[in-house]
Amino acid sequence: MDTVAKLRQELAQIQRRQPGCRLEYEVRVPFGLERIDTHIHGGLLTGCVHELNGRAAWLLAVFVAGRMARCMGGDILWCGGSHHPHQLYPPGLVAAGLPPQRIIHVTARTGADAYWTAEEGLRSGSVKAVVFEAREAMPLRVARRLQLASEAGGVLGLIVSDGAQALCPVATTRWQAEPVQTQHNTSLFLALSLVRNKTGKGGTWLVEWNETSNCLSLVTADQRRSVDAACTPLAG
Amino acid sequence: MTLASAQALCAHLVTLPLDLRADHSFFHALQNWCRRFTPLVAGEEMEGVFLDITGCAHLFGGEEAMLLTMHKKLRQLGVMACLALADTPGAAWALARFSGNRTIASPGRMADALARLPVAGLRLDEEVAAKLRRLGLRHIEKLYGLPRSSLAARFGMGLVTRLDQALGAAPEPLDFKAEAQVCQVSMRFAEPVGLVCDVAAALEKLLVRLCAMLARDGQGARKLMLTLIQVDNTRVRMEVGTVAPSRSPRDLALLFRDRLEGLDAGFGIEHIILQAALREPFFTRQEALTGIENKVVSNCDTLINRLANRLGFENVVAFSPAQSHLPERAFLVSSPAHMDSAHVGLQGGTFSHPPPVRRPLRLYRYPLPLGDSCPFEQVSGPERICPEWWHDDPAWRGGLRDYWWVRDEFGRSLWVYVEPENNPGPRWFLHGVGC
Repeated sequence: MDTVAKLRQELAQIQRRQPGCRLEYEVRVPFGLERIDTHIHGGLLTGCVHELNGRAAWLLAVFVAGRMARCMGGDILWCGGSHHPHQLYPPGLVAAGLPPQRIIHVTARTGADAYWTAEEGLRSGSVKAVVFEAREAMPLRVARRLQLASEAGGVLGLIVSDGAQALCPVATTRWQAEPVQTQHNTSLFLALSLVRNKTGKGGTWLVEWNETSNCLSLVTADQRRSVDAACTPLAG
Repeated sequence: MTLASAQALCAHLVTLPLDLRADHSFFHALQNWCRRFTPLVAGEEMEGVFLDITGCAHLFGGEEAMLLTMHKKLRQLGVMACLALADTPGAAWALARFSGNRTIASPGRMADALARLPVAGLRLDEEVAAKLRRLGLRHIEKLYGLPRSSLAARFGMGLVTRLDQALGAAPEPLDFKAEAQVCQVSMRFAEPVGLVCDVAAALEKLLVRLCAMLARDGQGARKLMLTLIQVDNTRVRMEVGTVAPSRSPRDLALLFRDRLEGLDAGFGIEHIILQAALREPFFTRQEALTGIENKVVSNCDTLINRLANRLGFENVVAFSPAQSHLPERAFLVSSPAHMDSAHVGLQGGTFSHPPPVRRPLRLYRYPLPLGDSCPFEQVSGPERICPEWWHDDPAWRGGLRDYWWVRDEFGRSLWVYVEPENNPGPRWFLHGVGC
């Protein structure tokens, strides 16, 4: 690698922590929803740890991992544990856009093993994303280690929990996905809010998950009025 | 004889159930043990062992001394053995069973050696032996003078063949088992070493040698066993496995690195043995022209190996579809070693896209009981799923199930089912989460 390229990369490493700047070498995973993607400068930044929580976090995590697997064409390391009464169900993932044959599923018995697995996966750089089913708020030290590992490997880290509280104190972005009670039978409406964003502002959107065609779309202002008339959003 | 009559004869009779598997493994161990005398070892299961000691006897001080050594060593192991030495396997078989222990037949005189032995020594069927005895032909020498054509006509070719084989007139090829190749390298140190980094450096050298051996045989290691022998003869054993055959010294050293971290060297290690305990054919992949694609595949294997060695191979899995309409059985877990498309295709195709019916993202390990009625608002359904009558699955004892998609009070999509045939009344269960 020549010196200029090396210096550029070093610069990019430093600039990553600066808010609001768009880098030359970064890789981002777009949601495929225009307004959200422009808001976060083109998508979720890889080489960073992001946090997804809220009651609809599983759907969001599968959707993002699926976009990653299909856009970048790689494997996904899914680090589960035995702390949830339910576990990943491969036949259901196809509909949400994640091909199950792309998943390497790991069951970690203890918290320490789970952190180690996530860190190894992020650092190795041989998978495209690591999805980590968090069981409790992680200590700052662990969170920093995960962030550094993900920077080293250039891998997208997703911390997922279906609770409401923040678990990863250093996450680059934190998303909260809450289902919205409606009379619609074929669609699931999600209140998607960006509650933490290190490189920009937060935001709130209403997105629609069509349960028959299995696609995610942004609800426009006009549609929103009709949805609002029929629904009572529940705060998280 | 029945057990009852045997016990009537001997009140203190000790009886044990027949353990064929243990017998089998003992017999194989015995065969392997016999390789210390000669490389040519053959033998039928539980019928005795044939050793071809041609050219080996002088190493043990002659034939008599060899038999004596064998006898002593076997007795030390607690094995009561009858040994005999003869020109032909047939003659040795007869002498071992019907002559004194450690009989040695003089070379070229099998007819004399076998003369006074009973005809059963010719490895005959029980029926033929009984017939011969009834006719007064009790000893083998009685058969020598009889016309061969009438012997064959009366007793079948078996008798004549066995007689010829015992006397050396007909060939009797034995099925010598090839010795299992052990793929092992070792290193001895002039001075005991105690530092983990020294052990790791020695291990790397051994791995290079072992991988060269594996490459020569076109094989890759699936399991490696490392034995560290300390000065006081304490042995520390470590085992690492791989999901796919590997012969990359760098990757294998990485697997040992995690194990070596907490090593207690005691008074120092003076001998290291590295063995490829499990080997498989290693198929070299066609390298992509750019070399990039190939690198990605091997990297993923490296990660999987590291994870599997720490967390257990059953905890690192890949999914493939299964032929079942029951939700719990609709997928298989397998080792994520060969995740290329060809392998997935072999195991029964990929998951269908789009799926024929909606399925949840997460499934409860054990369905959560909800009570007699559904507390949620029903959205779509029912989808009726019948149990597989050819499997007795305890989870499906409640009979057929009607699956519904419902919304809970938070607006979440849940997958619940009811067992309408359940006695005394229908019961509802929560089985999956859709978002």
